[in-house]
Amino acid sequence: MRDIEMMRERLSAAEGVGNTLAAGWDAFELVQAVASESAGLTPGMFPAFMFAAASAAEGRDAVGFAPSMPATPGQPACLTRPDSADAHQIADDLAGLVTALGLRLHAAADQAVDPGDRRACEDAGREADRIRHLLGPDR
Amino acid sequence: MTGVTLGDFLRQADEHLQAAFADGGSQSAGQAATALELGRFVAVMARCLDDRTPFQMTEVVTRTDLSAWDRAGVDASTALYNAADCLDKATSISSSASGPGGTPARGLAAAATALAAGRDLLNTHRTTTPGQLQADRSPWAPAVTSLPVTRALTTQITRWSSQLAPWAASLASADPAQAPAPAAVRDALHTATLWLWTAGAAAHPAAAAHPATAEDARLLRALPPAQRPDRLPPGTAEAMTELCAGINVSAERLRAVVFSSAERAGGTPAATADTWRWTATAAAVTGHASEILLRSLASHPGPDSDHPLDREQLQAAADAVAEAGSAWRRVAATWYGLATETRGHATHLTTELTDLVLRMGRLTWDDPDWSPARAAGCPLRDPAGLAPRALNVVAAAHQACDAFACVAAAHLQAVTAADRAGRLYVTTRSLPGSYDVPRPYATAPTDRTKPILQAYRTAADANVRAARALAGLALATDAPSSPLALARAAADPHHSSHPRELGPRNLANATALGDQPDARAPEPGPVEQVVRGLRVADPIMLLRAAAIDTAARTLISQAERTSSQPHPQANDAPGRRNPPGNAARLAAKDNPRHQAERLPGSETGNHEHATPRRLRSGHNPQTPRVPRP
Repeated sequence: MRDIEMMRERLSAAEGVGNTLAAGWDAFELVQAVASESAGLTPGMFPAFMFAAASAAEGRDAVGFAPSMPATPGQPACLTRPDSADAHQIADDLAGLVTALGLRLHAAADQAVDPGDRRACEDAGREADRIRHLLGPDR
Repeated sequence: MTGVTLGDFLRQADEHLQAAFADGGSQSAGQAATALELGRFVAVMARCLDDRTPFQMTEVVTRTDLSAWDRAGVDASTALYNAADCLDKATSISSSASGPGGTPARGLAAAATALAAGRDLLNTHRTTTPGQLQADRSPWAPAVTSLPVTRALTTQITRWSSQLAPWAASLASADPAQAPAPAAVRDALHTATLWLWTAGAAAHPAAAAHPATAEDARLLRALPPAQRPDRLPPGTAEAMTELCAGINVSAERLRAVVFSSAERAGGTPAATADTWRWTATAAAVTGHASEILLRSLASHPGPDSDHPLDREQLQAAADAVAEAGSAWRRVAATWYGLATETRGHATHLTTELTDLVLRMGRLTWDDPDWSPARAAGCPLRDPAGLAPRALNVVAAAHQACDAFACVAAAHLQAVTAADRAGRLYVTTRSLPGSYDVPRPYATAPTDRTKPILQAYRTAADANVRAARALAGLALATDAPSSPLALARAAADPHHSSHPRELGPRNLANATALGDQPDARAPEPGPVEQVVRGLRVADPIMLLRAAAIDTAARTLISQAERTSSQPHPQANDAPGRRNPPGNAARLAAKDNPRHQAERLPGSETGNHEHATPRRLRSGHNPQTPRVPRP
């Protein structure tokens, strides 16, 4: 999906805790929107997408309440329908995004000076890891 | 049903009584000791009825709102108290003359112990408030105090009374040479015999009009103690029966959790959007799995003898469950756009939900290690494999659906309270541009909180309908969850006076929320809430409580107008949302961080409440993790 690819690029380009938080917020919103939209594609994937969407909302709120979170995080999440109707492909794409997201958040947690930022990044990183476990191809 | 039930104690009491009768009263040795134990057993019977119909005889005469069974209970308990009283007096006077009791005395003593234990079990469902009023303390309480249970228990006790009467007469007439006893004891036995006959006949008028039925007796025997069952952590490679039993336990524990007032209180920091969102997600996933199971059963091409379920009924139940699952999905989706100022999960609730989701998934998909994680290639369970345990599967789906109906009602209350407390937030960029708030979150406007409340109402309604459909299936097939169906029907205020009418029509009236306050009614004020919480139905008393609340609100309103101090939550109250454009004030107030800093247990800049952040089972070594890697 193009939106997912663009979000990965934005995450890679984000520098500093504040920008990482802002990019993380948007990434979680994108994951939540896509996972929620894709839940009905395949019965067997319904639980994974549903719990992934819930975790994404929790991850967004984790970074959203961080002290260094910018007042206006960025562009709204993708509201377009996923390009692919293949649930497994979508899951793979999202798993790739949250893998990158988790790495950036854990790195930001190490950089953060404010304990509130550090805790927010750690919590959000755990949510990203959780989503990767839910949607990743390797069980 | 798991663990001990009232039926266990009633059966024990009956067995001990029959053993005493088999010995024969006329040949009984230790007549005084036997009379003493008879008095004790009769006293326990009287107390059992008195608990259910705590009316004085004057009330019976003057009140017009008592049912025939209430009157029967009062008449029988009065007669039994009289019998016990005369036996007690006589045996206490002649205690020195009483010899060791024989088989009848031991049987009566054991029966009294068993019945007293049964009475204790019933009383665990009710509690006495500081104001000496009775209040429910378990989800089963409405069924315990229902007419069908009163009918069945009164019938059982009056039947025992009728059996005891001739036996006591025989004991009183025993040959003095074989069973020496003081004259006072013999006289007391004669008098007690008359009272026992009276008690035995007390239920005749009520029974003639509305006899107790097999369903009443079945519900009575199935009543569990109020104590919630022990948790059964999911194990590895559980068989289908174990999975279904575990689901039943989780559902029972879930009902107990949401019955507590704490789970209905949404105004406190412990109540979080994380918990509510995750609960809705778990409910949607459980509904999804239940629907697959029911459709799988309905599609089973095998002979009908495999399971006595009606396919059309199964399809209808599957449709209803699908609707409930979709409703929960909408709740979860609505929560994606909302937050609270505190985060984290409620341990007790999440643990039960985790167990329930895991087992429902393992019942649906043919993988003993199933978890919500991407289940690529994991097939559904073969319908032919489900068929032999079809009734257990239906019972599991029924239990889960009923539990989520209770959850929906409780969380509707809690979220309503959170909304009133101004604890719901939305992302600022989801608001119209006129909301100039320089923070990621802003207090949710009314038009953003209405959808979540409406979503909960829809979910509650859909779950009630699904639970009814499954209750009909359970009753039609005598599935293991049929006592739950009977309990819901019995607790329904519109319950037919004749339990034979427990068919689909009556079940349609039965609600899975029989123990839940009406979530749609305008929320009563604090005084009225307390009065309603005490299950007071007196309209005058309720009107007085509402009037007191109205007067209090008027007084506060007048005080606000005359005071120079702003109302502490004036801008958070429903209908008084912040108007757009007042950016500075919004910025200062709408920031959840600022709210969190004022909350006990919250950490500056972190905004989590004192409850551990992530309390999913993954942090508990005894529980599989959901979602699992």
